[in-house]
Amino acid sequence: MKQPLVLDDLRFAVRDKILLDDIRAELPPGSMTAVVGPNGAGKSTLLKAISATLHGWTGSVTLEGRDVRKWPRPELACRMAYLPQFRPVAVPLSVEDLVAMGRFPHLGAWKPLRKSDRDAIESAMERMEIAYLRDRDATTLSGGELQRTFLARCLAQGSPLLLLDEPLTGLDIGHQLALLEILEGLAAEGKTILWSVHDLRLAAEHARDAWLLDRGRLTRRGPIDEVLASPEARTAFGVEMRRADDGSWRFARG
Amino acid sequence: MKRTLAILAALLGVALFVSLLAGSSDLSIGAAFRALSQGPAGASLDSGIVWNVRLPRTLVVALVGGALAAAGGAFQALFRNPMADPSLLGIASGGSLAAVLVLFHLPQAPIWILPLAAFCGCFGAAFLLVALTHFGGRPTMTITLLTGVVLSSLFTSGVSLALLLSDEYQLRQLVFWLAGGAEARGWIHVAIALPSMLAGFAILLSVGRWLDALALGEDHAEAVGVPVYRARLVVLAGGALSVGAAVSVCGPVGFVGLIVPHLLRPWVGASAKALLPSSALGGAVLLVVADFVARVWLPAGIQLGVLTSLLGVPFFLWLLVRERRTML
Repeated sequence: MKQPLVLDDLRFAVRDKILLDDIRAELPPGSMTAVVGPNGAGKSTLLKAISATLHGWTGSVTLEGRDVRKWPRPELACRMAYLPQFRPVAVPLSVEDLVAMGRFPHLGAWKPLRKSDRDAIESAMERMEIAYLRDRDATTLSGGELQRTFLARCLAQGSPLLLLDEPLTGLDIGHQLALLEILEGLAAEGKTILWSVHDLRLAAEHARDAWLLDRGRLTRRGPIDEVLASPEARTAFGVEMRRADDGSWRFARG
Repeated sequence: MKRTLAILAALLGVALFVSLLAGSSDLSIGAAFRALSQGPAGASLDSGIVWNVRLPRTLVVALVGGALAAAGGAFQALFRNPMADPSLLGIASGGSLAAVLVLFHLPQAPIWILPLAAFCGCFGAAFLLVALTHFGGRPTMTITLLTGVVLSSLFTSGVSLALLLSDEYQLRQLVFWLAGGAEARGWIHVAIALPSMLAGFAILLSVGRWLDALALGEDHAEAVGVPVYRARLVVLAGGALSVGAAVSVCGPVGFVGLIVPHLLRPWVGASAKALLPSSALGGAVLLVVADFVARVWLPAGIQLGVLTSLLGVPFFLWLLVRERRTML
């Protein structure tokens, strides 16, 4: 991603319930930005809109000078890998088959996997530590293993922009930290990452920037320390957040 | 997967051959071989029976089984619904309605009119489904599925109406056709069904990757670059070609499209590139065997379609009980 992702006047409503309201923001290339906000603030909806898997919103989301809804689907998927929040697997596909789906946008419906595709699949599985599960039926995986499988699919996609909806959910603390390390590594390589997260402690330690959503509005964005300590965050969560002298975060209701 | 395909192909070969042996007169294995080797122009009575009666019939049955099972597997992935099969969406019942109308209004029509009408009926039903759901909006998969179910019951009501209005003689004919079977099917039926089935199967197989991605949900499929909207139209078209051809030559034969993919998934996995070819072979084997049983061991009234339903329902219930966990 060479140009920033630009969100302009993004709005979405279901009947008269406003889910996203006048969202304007830029996501610079190489940034790792956490989307934070209380339940129902619109985090998932925002990521769905940006990934163009949500339909019926107004405004614009511009990627490389073109609205995401105008990109042909495979070309968009080559530029942006999206991890949906709900990841049901109802069919007995193998882990490797599932990860290989990340290469579909590069191959279309027909072309067989090339060496470069196999390498991308292999290194994504190794990075997510699921190579030993490759032949397992994905319906038999634990929640965390499945989560890592889907993340590996996103990595195999090789897109410069990653949109991850709750990537940490369902992972144990070891795998959470491992994933955060991987994401930081990817950002250092120049990938742009927008991820939603509930665990504010982990977010504060690992994200550089944050967008704060409150009832469909983007009320604050900037370095995550400032966002979390802001009055807007206090309004959104009803929680007072401050950084103690030893650097750790303190949370208090009120 | 290759081994399963080889086993199924071998089974199909055996089933096809065995189906040549029995009928109104029984042939020994040697006699059947001799008759086959004489070619269609063979002068002997055996050769006439094998080449003109039994072989085309059993080929029709095999093609129908294969087409229905492959389409069933594709629909189950497309709708992410284990109950999806060619008859659920009204495609098969659209064909039935068209066939019933021909039998009702044009009883003297030439032999190829009936299959053609049934085929057009299936395609008309698929087209109506797409037109109703896609007109002026982006339907969810659930809306498409429900619309199909509603259309199916509409066509079934039409069939019932035709049955109510028909006289004794017509009624018998209509019921016979609706029971589904391959009675007196010949090479013309093979010729009618084969091109459309091959085209349908090729279409379904060519979008196998899309089907795999769709089985994980539409947002997931879109995230890996599948044009979901177009994929649905392509799969419906491929399915309608297969099912339309099957219904056109055999009438509505139920449960093959539902059961065969379920049976094979534990063996070959859910990936379309493995599931569709093995379902096609497995469906062919199943239906050839069922036709043999219906033809040779059961009283004349028990048609192929009746038998598949009779066997299919308890079998499916057994599957449901055994695999309560996940059905797809």
